[in-house]
Amino acid sequence: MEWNWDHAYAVLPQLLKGLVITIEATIVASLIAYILGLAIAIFKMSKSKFVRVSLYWMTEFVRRTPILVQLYVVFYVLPDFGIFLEAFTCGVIVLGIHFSTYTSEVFRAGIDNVSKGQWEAAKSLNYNPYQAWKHVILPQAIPPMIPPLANYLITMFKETPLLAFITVVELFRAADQYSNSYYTYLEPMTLVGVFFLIVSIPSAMLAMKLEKKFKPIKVTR
Amino acid sequence: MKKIISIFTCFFLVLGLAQTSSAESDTLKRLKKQGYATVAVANEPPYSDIKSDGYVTGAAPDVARAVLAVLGVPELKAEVIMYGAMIPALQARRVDMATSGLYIKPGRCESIIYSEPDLCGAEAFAVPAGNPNNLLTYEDIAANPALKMTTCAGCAEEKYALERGVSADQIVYFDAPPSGIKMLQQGRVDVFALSGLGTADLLNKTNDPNLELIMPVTGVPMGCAGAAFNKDDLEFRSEYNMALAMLKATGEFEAIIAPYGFSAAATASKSYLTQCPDGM
Repeated sequence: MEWNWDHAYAVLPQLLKGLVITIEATIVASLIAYILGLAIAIFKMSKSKFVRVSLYWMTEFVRRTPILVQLYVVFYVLPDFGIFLEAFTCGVIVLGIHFSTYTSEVFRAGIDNVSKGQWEAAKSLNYNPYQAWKHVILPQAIPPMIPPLANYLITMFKETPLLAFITVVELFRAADQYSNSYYTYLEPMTLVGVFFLIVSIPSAMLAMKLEKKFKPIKVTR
Repeated sequence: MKKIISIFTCFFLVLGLAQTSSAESDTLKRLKKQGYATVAVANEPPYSDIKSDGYVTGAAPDVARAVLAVLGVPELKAEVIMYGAMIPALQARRVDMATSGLYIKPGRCESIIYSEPDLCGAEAFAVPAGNPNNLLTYEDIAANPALKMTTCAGCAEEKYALERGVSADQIVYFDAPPSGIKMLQQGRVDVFALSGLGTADLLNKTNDPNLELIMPVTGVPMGCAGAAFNKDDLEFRSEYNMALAMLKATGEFEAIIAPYGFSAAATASKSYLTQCPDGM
């Protein structure tokens, strides 16, 4: 089989459209993963045992089941219970929730990294819990979290082809559709790989730079 | 008289097969030696159907199994491959044949070769009961860009739709026909398009009074499928055609496909040469 430039040029517009959707999905899913992950980390420090245990089992359940199964359940099963979401929405919610269980560990480790004396300092300044989090704890906890969070962003980017299975025409599905119509995988799939590399290699390099700038925290699970 | 002609036809075909056995194609020799042929199927009853125990049946694999038995290949091993990926799978020789109601189309003949037609049928839509959008043709779908249709990627129905003005943005591809029906039930799409008997079978199994079958879809030709081969398997295709002709002449072919709702008479006047005139 020989490389055919005609196929390569013909598939490009569809791939670019797919790339935009892939990037959009990554951004929205990572925002969900970060916000929810932070919330989970904070609530896991709750004094209520019920909240802590419930969150532990919820995160374990999400983390120990495949993303693809979660996508199928949200896309095909939830409408039977009256919850109807568009395919893209289903995809970013599932990806975001799934990865929030991992980012929550990053946030937890980052928060644990801040010494107890800082809490006491906030208390002595008469800060309420919200002010203590905002002005004292998070500004110190977040910088070392950035490198591992950036790595999860890259992982999420690479997981977006799973959305193809619930009809989202992202980068992989765009190539797959062309392959199905013109019976060639060589050019579309090679270009998909190239597009992923073009985005993920600079992102990985940036993550490495961030690691050098901010000493990353060690995440244990 | 008809019986006598059939007997003579069989006699000459058997004679032909016996002659070719001395000069068999390399592919047939390999398949006979290994004792099985690997075939691509799509799990779309009644064309092909995978039972819960993994046994592959359905009209197309059953015809292929009978033809291969005549050729001396006792077993058929099936791999479920989506329609769109069948041709690349044949080209890459991941399978020896595709037997799953892959329609004979000129575009496809540039990449693969077909046997003589074995299954012919009309096209169908599945729509919400009462057909609220009054969809009878692909042109009706094209006329309303707000409508969404679902079919499989690389299928004949995708081509029918695009050729008749349906925009690519209107098409949502399903991974398996039942998931397409699910999307129709949930209102994610307005119309499901597939082969007539395949759609009828799905609706029958779904048994949902909120769905309705529109068959035949007017303005599209009757689709005829055949077994598909790698382009280099011209000799093997000839051997397959000869054995298929023998089954057609004895009536065994009709006995295989009739219970699935297909008509042997519908294939009688058809040839792959109609769609692929250069003989490929």
